[in-house]
Amino acid sequence: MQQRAFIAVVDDDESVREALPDLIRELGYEAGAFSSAEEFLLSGRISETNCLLLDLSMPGMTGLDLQRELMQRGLDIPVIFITAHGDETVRRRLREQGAVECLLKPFSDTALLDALKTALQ
Amino acid sequence: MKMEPELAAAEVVQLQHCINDLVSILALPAMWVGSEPSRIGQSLLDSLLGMLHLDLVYLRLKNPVEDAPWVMVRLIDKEQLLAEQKQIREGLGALPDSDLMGWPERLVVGAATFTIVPFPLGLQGEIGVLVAGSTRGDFPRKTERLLLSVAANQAAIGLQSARHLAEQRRLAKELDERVAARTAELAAINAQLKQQISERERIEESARDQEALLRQLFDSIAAEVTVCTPEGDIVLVNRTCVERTGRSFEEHRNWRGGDVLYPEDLPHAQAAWKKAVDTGGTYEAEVRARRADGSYRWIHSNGFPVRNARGEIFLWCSLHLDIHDRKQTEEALAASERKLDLVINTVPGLVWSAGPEGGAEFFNQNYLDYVGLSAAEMCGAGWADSIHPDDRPALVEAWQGMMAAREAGEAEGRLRRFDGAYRWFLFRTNPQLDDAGTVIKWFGVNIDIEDRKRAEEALRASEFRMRQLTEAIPQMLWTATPEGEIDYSNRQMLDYTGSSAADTSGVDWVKMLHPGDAENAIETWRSSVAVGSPYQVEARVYKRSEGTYRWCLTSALPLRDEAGKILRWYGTSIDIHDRKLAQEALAASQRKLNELVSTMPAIAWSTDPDGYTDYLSKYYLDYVGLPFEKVSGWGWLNSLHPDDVERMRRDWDEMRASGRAWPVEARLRRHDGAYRWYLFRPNPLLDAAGNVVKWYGVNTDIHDRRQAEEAQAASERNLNVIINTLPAMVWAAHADGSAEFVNQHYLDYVGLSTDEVQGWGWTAAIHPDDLAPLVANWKRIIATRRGGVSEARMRRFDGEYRWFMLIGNPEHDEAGNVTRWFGVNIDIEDRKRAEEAVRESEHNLRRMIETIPQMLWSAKADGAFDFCNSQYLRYSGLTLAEIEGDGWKKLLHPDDIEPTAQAWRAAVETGNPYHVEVRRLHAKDGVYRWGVTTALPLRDDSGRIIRWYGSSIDMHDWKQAQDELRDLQAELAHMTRAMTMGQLTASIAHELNQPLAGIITNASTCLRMLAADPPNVAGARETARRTIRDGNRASEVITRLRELFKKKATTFEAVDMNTVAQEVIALTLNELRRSNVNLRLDLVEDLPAVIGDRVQLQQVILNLILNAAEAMLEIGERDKELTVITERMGDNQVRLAVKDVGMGFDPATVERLFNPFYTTKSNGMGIGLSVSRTIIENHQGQLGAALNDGPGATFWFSVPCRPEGDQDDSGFNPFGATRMARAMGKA
Repeated sequence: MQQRAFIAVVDDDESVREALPDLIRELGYEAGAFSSAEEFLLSGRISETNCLLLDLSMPGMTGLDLQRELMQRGLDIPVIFITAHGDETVRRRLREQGAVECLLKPFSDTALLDALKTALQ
Repeated sequence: MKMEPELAAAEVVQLQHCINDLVSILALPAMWVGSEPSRIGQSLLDSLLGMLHLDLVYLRLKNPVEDAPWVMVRLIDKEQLLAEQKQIREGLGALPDSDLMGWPERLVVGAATFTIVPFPLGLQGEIGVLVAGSTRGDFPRKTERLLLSVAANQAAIGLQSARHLAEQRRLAKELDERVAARTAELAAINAQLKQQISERERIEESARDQEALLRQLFDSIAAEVTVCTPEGDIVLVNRTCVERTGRSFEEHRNWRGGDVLYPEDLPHAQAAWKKAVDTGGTYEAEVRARRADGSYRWIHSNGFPVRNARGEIFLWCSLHLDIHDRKQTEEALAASERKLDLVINTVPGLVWSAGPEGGAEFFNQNYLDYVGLSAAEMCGAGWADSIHPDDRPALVEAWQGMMAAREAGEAEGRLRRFDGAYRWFLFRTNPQLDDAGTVIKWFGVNIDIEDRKRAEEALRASEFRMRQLTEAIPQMLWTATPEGEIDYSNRQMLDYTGSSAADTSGVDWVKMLHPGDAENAIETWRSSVAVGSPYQVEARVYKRSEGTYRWCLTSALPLRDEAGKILRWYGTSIDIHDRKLAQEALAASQRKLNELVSTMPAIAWSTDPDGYTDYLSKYYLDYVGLPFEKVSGWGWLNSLHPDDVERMRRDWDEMRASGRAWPVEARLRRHDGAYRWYLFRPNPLLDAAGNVVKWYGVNTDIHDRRQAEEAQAASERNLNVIINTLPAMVWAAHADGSAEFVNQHYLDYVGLSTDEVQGWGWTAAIHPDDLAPLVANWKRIIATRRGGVSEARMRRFDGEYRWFMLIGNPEHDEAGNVTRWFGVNIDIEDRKRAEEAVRESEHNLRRMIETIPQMLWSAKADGAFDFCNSQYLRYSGLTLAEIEGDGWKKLLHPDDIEPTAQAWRAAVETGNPYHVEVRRLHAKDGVYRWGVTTALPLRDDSGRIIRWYGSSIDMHDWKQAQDELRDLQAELAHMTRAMTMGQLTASIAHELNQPLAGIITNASTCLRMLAADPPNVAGARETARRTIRDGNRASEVITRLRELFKKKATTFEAVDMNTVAQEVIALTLNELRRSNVNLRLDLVEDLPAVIGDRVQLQQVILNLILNAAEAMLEIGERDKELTVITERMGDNQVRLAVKDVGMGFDPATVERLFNPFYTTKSNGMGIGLSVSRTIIENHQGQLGAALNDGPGATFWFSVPCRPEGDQDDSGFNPFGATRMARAMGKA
């Protein structure tokens, strides 16, 4: 059997870390939650991460910073941004900059599934 | 031909011989080629001789060149006929070449006879002749003849060729010779040429050398030299020229257009050049030429032409010398000369100079102008023409004398002026000598002494005239020296005494005196001379013509100089004899009269015409108590009162002088010393001619009368003084009103004289505008015959008009008619001005009262309304009559009447300021409008209220505006709240978003878990739980939001600032956390309560906190610390401060922060701080901001605590005075 893709969820919001991984697992992936971009980078699980679910605005290193950091390291991990703020313009810009998708909270499980599928193609 | 054979054979042999000979002959020419004719001839002869067996052959050839033919003879026997050769030659020689036919056939030579046959050589024998001779008899056979002929021909040919050849040779030789000669000639010429060439070369070289030398010379000349063509084109400039001018040859070539010469001098240079060229003379010009350093210096150019053999100019050579210094010196000299010239010509004297010989050389302008001649006319000897003819000889002689003496001198003479007038001049000369003492020049100055001369003449004339006068005066005149020696007596004197001049000079005049008088006269004279006092003596002088002594009065006076020294005595002697006699007669009669008069009891006196009192009546003497001697003469003056003496003297002098008499009053001193007034009445006694002979006089006692008069005068004076001293203008007028008298003050005031003021003249001082009414009034008053008053402006002496009150009072006579008016004019200017001022002030005040857009009123001290301005009346629509007293009550709103009346009563009684707010009926629209009425009492010095002054202000609109404002503020606050809420929206949205997202995620997960096979019930339960939890969270947020969003009216209640703050902070916690803001609370415990609207205060706090968070957004490295502080302030205030470490603000613009629309936020409306401030101010508090010591700012507000003991916190009059004031300012 093909190993399940590991999706890393990076969000400082506890409720997100609480709820999202379960949903992701239900959707058929492996999930891990990290409270900050730094935690993720220090986790040692970067190499096995197949996709990132990144909160845009986080204290300290933001989601964008993390994306940039990974690109500088030459790691081409697909990134899906999640944010409570933002609009179509923001979403479009992020996608131009290389994000797979930008999901605006609250988003449906189907929206999440589509994004994950696109990222892991 | 037919011939016999033997013969034939012999003939044949002969023929053969002949042919052999022929052949041989024919072969001869071949031998002869290139031979000389002589050779040919020889050869021929020899051949012929041998061949033909001839005895003789003779050849004669013409010699083309020489006349003598060439002859050759050959004989068969040479030795034999040697001597005969000559004969042959001679014989044959005589035979011509041309006519050969004529030749003899025989030639006899000695013993032999030859038969000769000549053969011509050449066709006509032009070559020569060949002669063959033989002694044979058959000679010449045919064949011989033939052979000889052929031989001759051949010889001819050969000779011809030889001749040609010889000719050729000769020609060739000649040619050669000629060639050689020519060649030699040419060679000679060539050699000559060569020599010439080398000579020329040598010359040229030497010329070049010379040229080079010349060039060197040229260049080394230490002067600038230029060479040019007659056209003026420079062809050569020497080195010096180039060096000094700093300009190259090329540039020199362009001298006409370049800068070698100073541009201004170019025309001059060119002109001089042209002149030189035209005349062929030298070129001379002074021009400024450029120096190597660029400066220009004066150069003297001298060019001379260079001519060729024909005398034509082919070059100009010019030398240029630097004369700059010289020129400058010249100029300086010229300038100095000009100055000198100026001086000489300005000297107001006639200045001239002449050469050593006396010939005039120079005259200054003054001189020339004076005589009106030119220098040319004057120079040399021409000057003498200007001298007056009569003076000329003397002057010239004097001049010559001076020149001879070589000394300075002077002479006088008349000089003719330009207009022909002659004036006396003093000619002063001065020689200028050189070292040797010879005169180089004469300098002279002519000074106009005409005036002096005239003066002298005048003096002389005057002296002459004087002398004439003295001689003419019918008076004896004499003069004496200061020592008293008579040095002149006029003719009269001399005639009178019958003496000559000699007699009357010196002291011999004594002789002329009567012995009886002489001593006295001399004595007196001596003393006069010694003292210098005037001399006067009567003495008898001997009159010659009558032979008797006659009385003469001699008087003399000294003439003194400025120092007082006596220069001369001038004296006259007058024959007074007759007079004396008359006098004596008179005296006698006088005495008689005196006696008569002295018996009369009157103070009588008489004097002589001179005023010398000679008689006084006894009574006079007794009266004054003095002896006659003391009183006579002029002594009587001593009896006069000192104050009257002068006057008396004066009058008496005048009387005597004029011959008229008038009485004079003076005080005479009585014998007891008392002075009494007397009237001195002199009377002249005239003789027939009308001359005064004597004066007689009588003095009458007028003392008492005078005293009376004086008393009168004194009293009048007094009155006058009073009248004139009164500081009032006093006047008296006739019954008709015309002025009779005005006092001094009046006159001084109007600056007119008494005369000017008299009659109706006084009206001149009245102001024109006031005159008519015044006169009218005056007339009216006069008509009433009673006193009256007028007012008019009077003109002061300086022209200024002032108001005067003119008061007049009549004087009546017994009948009751007005005889006179007496009046006083009093200056009321100041009063009038004051009145004016008051009127003006009242007028202004009234205007002001009427203009002030305020309702003003005034009431009496008892509170009764008695005045209001027109605004009031207009507002109320009532009349003053209706409002008066307490009629004003009618104006008020029924509900306000009583309280207002009460308040007014209270104010009137207590005197406290009155202040009420009432509704008043506005007449215009019949509506009651709110107004504020205030009044203040006016007190006098003792503090008693005199009046009340009040004003009412309509504040209805204001009130309404305030209400609206409050509503608006509430709206604004609400809106701000809404906007502030807007700020929170993001946060709130996020707050909501969070649980929402959680709900959706968890719910989705739950469904999926349940849908799994097997269903994950545990997971589903967990996710469901989370869902509910999140739902609740969302609900809470909404509740909070709703509450915050509720619009409430401002309710003031006691609130605890700490609690209020904490509630707000709870709302912002999330937001702050998200922004990484560290919130610190520094809330003091036991904070007293404040009165305020909880929600509004929370709004303010929220605003401040959000601002602080925003300010710290961009600070980067620092920790974003936000501190909320509460504290208690000293003046019963509670303060809340929000401190951040953000970017701060520009302290200069701190106020702008509170501007309603000031914002640094991109999406906020910025109303926050402005509304916050208003809210706080509504709480009676203050909101402010300040920069921290460190980074960031602190925004704070303070509100007053609830007042101690005041639990009733609901009544809060927003219209308290301070509030009103502030609101007025703010609204």
